[in-house]
Amino acid sequence: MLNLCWIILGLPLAAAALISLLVIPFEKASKEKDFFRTLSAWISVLSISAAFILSVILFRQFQAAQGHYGTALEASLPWMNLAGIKMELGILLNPIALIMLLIVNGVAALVTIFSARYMQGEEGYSRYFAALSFFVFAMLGIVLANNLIQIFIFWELVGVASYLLIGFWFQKPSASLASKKAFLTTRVGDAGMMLGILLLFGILVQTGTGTFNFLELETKLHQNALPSGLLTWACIGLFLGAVGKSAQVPLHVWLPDAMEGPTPASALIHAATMVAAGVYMLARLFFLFEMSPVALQVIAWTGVATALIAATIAVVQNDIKKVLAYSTLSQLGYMVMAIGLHHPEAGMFHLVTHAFFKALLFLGAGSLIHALHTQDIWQMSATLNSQKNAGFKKLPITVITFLIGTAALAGIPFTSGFFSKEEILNAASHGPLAIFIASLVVVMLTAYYMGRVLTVVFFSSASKAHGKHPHDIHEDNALVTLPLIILAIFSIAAGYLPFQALLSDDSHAAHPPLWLAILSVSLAVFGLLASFVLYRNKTEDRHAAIFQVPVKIIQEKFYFDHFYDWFVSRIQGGLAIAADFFERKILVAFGTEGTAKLVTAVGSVVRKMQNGWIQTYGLFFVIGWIILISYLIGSGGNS
Amino acid sequence: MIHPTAEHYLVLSGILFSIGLFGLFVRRHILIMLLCLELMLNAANLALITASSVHGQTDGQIVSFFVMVIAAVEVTIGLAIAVLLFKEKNTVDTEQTTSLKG
Repeated sequence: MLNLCWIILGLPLAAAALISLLVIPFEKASKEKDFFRTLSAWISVLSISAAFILSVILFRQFQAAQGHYGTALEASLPWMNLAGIKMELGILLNPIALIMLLIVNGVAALVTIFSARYMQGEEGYSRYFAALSFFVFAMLGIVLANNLIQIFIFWELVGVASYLLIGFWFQKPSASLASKKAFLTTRVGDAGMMLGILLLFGILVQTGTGTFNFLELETKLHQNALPSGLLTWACIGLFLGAVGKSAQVPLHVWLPDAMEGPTPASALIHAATMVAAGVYMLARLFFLFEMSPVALQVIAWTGVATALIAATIAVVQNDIKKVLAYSTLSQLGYMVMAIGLHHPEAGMFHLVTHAFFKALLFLGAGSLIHALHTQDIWQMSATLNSQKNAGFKKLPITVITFLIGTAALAGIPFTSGFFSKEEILNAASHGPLAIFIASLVVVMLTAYYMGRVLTVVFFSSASKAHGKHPHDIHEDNALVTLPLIILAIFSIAAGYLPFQALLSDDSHAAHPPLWLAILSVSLAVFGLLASFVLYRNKTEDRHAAIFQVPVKIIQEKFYFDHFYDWFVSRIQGGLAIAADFFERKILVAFGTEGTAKLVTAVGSVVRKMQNGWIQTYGLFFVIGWIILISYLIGSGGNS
Repeated sequence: MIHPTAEHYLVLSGILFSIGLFGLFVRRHILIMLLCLELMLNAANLALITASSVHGQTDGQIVSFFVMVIAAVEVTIGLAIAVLLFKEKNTVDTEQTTSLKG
C-alpha cells in the first residue's frame, strides 16, 4: 500500500523534471512552440490526475485495511545515520494525511486542467506547468512526511515553488517584488521553525535519545515529562513556521501581494493547499502542541487576531483577488484558532471545505478576469452591468458557481462552509469570550465583504457604459467550466463528510448546538443584506464617505507594511550600518588589511638580506646547517 | 708505511669537504663553484663508505650510489644554468650576476 505513496509522490516530480529538462529545451530550439506547450500541459495534467486517482485507490485500501482512527502506516528510507541522529526520508500515512492527499491532488488536478486553458498564449506556458507540478510534489512531501527534518525540507520547497509562481510574470516589477516578499517573509517564520525543531531535539536528547520521527516523538512525549518551559518555546518556534506559511498576523503581509501570480496558481497555492500547510502541520503535530497550554493560547489568539484583522481589511478592497486573499487569511485564522482551542479536527474540517470553496472562488474570479479583462470590481461592474442581468446571461456557469462558493464561504446552511464553520464556532464558544465574540464578528464581516463583491459585480444595474461591450463577453470552454462545476459540487458535498469519525476517536463529540447555528446564520444573512442595501446600484466605494477615519486605517491595512518598511529601513538599516562600520573599520582595518600591512613592513626590512650574491645565500645556508647540526648533536648528548 | 684506519678516511673526508666549502665561498667563477660542490658531495660519499665498512653493513655504500646519481643530475642542471647564464649575461662571474635581489 505504501508503494503507492512513493508513486504518488514521484509522479508530479517526474512531470516537473520531464517538462523542465526535456520539453522546455526542445521548445526553445523548435519552431513548433505550441506543440511543446500543449505537451507540457498534458504531462502535468495527466501525472497529477494519475496521482489523484492513485490517492483515491489508496484511500479505499486504507479504509479497508485500517478503518479507524489512530492507526498509522509508516515506511522510510534511511538517509543519514550519525551518532544519535537518524535522518530518514519517509512516509507516514494516517487518516489526516490521506485526506490532505486527496485534497491536494484533487484541487491540483482541477487547477491544472483550468490552467491549461487559462494560461494559453503565455510565453512561459511550459515553465508554469513545470512549476505547478513541482509545487504539487513539494506539497505532497509535506503531507506524507514522517519526520520534522523532511517536513522542513519540503516546507522550503513549497516556498520555492510559490516564489516561482508568484514571480511568473517576472518582467513585471510588482510581481518580482511580490515573489521576493513572499519568500523572505515566510523565511522569517521558517527560521523560527528550524529553531523550534532543533530545540525540541535538544530537549529530547536531555531526556534520553533525540528523534525527529513523528511516531517516536509521540511515544516519547507520552513517556517522559519534559521541561514545560522549553517545550513551550519549541512549540512556539514550530508555530512560527505555520505563521509564515499560513500567513498569520504578523507575517500575513506576503499573501495579498502574492496575488500578482497567475490566478489558478493563486487558487491552488495561496488559497487551497500551501497556505493550509501550516494548519496541517499544527494538526499533525497536535500531540506535541497539546503538551503546552501556553503555546496553544498563543496559537488561538494569533488565529483570531488574523481572522478579525484580515476580514476587516477585506471589506475595503476593490480588487477581486485581494478580497479573496484577505478572505483566505481570515479563514486560515479560523483554522489556526480552532487548533489553538483544542479542536484540530474542526480546523482540519474547515481546511478541507475551504480548499474546495476558496479554490472555486479563485477559479471563478479567474474566469471573470479572463472574460472581463479587469480585476477591479467597479470596472467589472461597469462592463457586466451595462446590460441588464448580463452576468447571468453571458457567464451563467461562472456566476452560479461563484454564488455557490460565496454561500459556502459565508456559511449559508447546507453548504460545506456552514458545517465546518459551525464546528469552529462551537470550539470558540467553549473558549474565552473575547475569542467567541471576535469569531462571530468575523462571520458577519465575511458575509458582508463577499456580499459587497457580489452586489457590485453581479447585482447592480448602475452603469457608466464604458469598457468592453457585453456582446463580447462569453463563457470559456469546458476546460474552464468543468473544474468550476466539479469544485462547486464539492463545495456543497464536502460538508457531509463524516469528518469527526475520520479524524477523532472521540465519537461522542458534541454537535454544534442549534442556537449557535441560528446565531451565525442570522449574522451572515445580516452581513449579506447590509452589503446589498449599501451597494445596490452604486458605482464607487461608500465606506470612506460613511466612516472616514477608521476606513483610512483599514485601507492602509493597519499599517503593517508601513511598520515593516520603517523597521527595515531604520532598525535593520541601522544595524546594517553598524555592521558595515565594524567590518570596514575594525575587522578589515586591523584584521585582513592590518596583517597585510604588517607582512609588508617586515618584508621591507628582511628583503635587504636578498642581495643577489649566491655566496651570501650559501653562507646563510651553511650557518643554518651548523646551528641545526649542533642542536641535534647537543640534544642527542643530553638524552 | 701506516695502514690507513677509519679515522684517516674520515679526516680526509672532512678536509675535502672543507676545501669544497671554502672554494664555494671564495671563488666567483661558476664552474669552479660547481666543481667545489662536486668535491663536497664526494667527501660525503667517502664518509658514507667509511662508515659502511666500519659497521660491516652495505647501507652506506647504497646511499653513496644515490649521492652519485644526485651529483650527476646536479652537474647537468648546473652546467645548463652556467651555459644559459653565459649566453644571457656574457659572464660566468657571480659578482656580475646579482640582479635577483630584494
